[in-house]
Amino acid sequence: MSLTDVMSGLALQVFPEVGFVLFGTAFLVVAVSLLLGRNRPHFERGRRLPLEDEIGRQPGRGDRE
Amino acid sequence: MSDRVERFVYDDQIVRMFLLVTILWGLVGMAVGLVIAIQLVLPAVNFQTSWLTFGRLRPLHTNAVIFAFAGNAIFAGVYYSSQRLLKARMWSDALSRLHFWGWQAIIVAAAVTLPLGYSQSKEYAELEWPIDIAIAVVWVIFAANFFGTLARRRERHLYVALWFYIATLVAIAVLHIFNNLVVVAGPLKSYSIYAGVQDAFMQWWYGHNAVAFFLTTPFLGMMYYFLPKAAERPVYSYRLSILHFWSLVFIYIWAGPHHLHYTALPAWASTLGMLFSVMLWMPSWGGMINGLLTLRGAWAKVTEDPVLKFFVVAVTFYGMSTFEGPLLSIKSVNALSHYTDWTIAHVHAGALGWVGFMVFGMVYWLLPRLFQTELWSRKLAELHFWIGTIGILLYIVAIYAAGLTQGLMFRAFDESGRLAYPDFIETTVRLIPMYWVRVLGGGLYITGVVLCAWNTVMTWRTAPASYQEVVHEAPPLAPAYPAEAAPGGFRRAAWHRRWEGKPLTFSIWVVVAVASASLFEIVPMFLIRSNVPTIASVKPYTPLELHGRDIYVSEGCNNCHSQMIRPIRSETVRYGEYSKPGEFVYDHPFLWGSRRIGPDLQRIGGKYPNLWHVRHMEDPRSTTPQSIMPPYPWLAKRPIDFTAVERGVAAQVTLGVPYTPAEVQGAADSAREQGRQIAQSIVEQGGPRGLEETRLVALIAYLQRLGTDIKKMPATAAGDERRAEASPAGR
Repeated sequence: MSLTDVMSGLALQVFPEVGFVLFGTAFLVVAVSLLLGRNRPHFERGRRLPLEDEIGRQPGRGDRE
Repeated sequence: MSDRVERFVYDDQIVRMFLLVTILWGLVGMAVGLVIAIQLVLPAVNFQTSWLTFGRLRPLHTNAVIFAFAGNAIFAGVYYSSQRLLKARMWSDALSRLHFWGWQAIIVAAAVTLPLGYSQSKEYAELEWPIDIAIAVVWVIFAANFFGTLARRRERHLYVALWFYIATLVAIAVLHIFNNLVVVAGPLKSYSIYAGVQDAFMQWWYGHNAVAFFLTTPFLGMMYYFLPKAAERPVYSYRLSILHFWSLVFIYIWAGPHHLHYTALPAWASTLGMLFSVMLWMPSWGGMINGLLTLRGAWAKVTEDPVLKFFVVAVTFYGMSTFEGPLLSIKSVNALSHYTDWTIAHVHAGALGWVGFMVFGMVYWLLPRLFQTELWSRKLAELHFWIGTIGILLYIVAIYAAGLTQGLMFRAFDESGRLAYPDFIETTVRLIPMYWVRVLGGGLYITGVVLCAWNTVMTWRTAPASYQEVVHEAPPLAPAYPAEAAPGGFRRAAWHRRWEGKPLTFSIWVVVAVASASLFEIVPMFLIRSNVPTIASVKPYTPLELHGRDIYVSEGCNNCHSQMIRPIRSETVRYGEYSKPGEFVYDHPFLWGSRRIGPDLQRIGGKYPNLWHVRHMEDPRSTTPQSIMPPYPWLAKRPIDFTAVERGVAAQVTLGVPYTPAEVQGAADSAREQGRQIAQSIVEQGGPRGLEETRLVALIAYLQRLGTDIKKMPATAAGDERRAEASPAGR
């Protein structure tokens, strides 16, 4: 029996529903994990990263200032 | 943590290079768009020149704005933000330059080959195989440089923008490679290894996700970086960004089949695409909300800052487009919108509003920083914003109206049950006033881009003779997280925190998300026999018909004509029997099209005599007085390349098309004989002599074959076939 035979025997009418349930479950797991956690310091640092890139700047060789 | 501090300088020269060509190619790509918009109201603007016709310029427009304008903008944004977020110079200056020049060479190659008619026909994947290989090589160079920079970063934590860049790099590589698998049939000619239904599925798996991973994820990454920078406020919610990212990456990849509702695609795939498209509302709006709420407390700045104005409108258009996209994926809505300008309006709301305005916001924010001077004119940037916004509104309102008008006219029946607009041309003529408004809107939008180009050049001219190299300092990357930074388990989301510090692990999970979702659709599509029931009377094309098909592809006929009759009453009454999956088993590539500027051609075979086609190609208005189709006089002058005919048939054999060895060997002779017969019939019908070895005859051979195989089915067999296809197992 080939993989083609196996796949051809599947009832694909339920395929969208299976995909939906699988994704919905994964989404809920991730959402619960994120929303129930107490990671404020970590998240706070993470969201500020783009604003940190000016820190540590020093005039270098060739600077006119 | 070590007290040692490292000093480093960012490579901003590469960002300047990508930024300047972004504007240059933006002008070129949008100017071509304006030209083809004008051609739809003034067909004479084709100038009877092959390389200026709509069918050849339309792919040039789409490729230029996507891969040249948006592509270079992505690279500028990625190179600027990644270095700063990672606190590291790009891994290799040489790779950066190779990436830049390689990409520009690809753009030039596309700009030459597409107008010359070298095309694979698949939307946004038209470029022929040598250019596709070059794209893959340059993409690998870009990826090596990016991941090399990740490896030598000084910031452990990967910011959300970088996640989106990783997804872009991974997904585009997968999509590009698998959609462009071909059998080579000449220096600039190839055939897709997939046929018919499966080719259509792969193309829209690619096409939809090109939008997802080339026009969405990199721009979201840039939104997460440049919007907080411009607003001088951190992103609203980091948790929301995690949900946004993973939901988007996982869901988007499933949604492609919604481009093929009511076609010969199996219903299970179509439904799956619709379901996941509707779910896309969730992450898309999560991202939009995250973007807009980043501005909370900073709205006063929006009134003063053109950069923020561009960003706010861009994010708003992102919200609108990503609301409308799932709406259009709902089958009943799609039945109305598909093949009409509604799709074009939707695309341009996203392209002009979201992508375009994100680019311009980024450009105006970067100009003073990259050129180390003031922006030459803030007022000009403000003017650009307002002209661009009005241009978008004029464009999309007119084209939404055109789409709805045409969709409703397609399906309108009169009181007696007959089509209210039986002549297709009636639906086209009705749209012309709206097409004029599009020209106006598009013209305004391009005027704004000209202002941007002017502002850029003038800012560049005021730049210092040599740029300051700002030296940055940061400690080297710690070998691992400090112990206190990674406590907890599932409930404290520590799993994601660990991923954010491990680029390889993070990238692997992105690959898993993209690949698993793809395989869930692709494996059943290719392995289930009932997806494509065979039809005994469907035979391979003759060598001349196959060559005519190549000419159809080369001229870009599929940009205006579909070959897919949906099982919808208005379509079967207008065009004939609906299209069956088994009719396309020898179609490498599929040519179903996505827009009907002209009528569907699936059942055109035998509808008109050969002479009608000769007249129609010479001057479409001689057969259809109000037609906006360009004339194709060169088809009757250019000879058939019989060597290409032989190569084409041989390549089809490699793909599994059942030509006998005798048919392969005698391909050229067979084509000559069929051409002679068609030319003779044209003469007998009162047409010109001497067409037997011209491209026109090959194209006529192909058009006269279209949709005729199914008419050769015995009556009972035809009924059985239809019943089989209507059964749940078959669909």
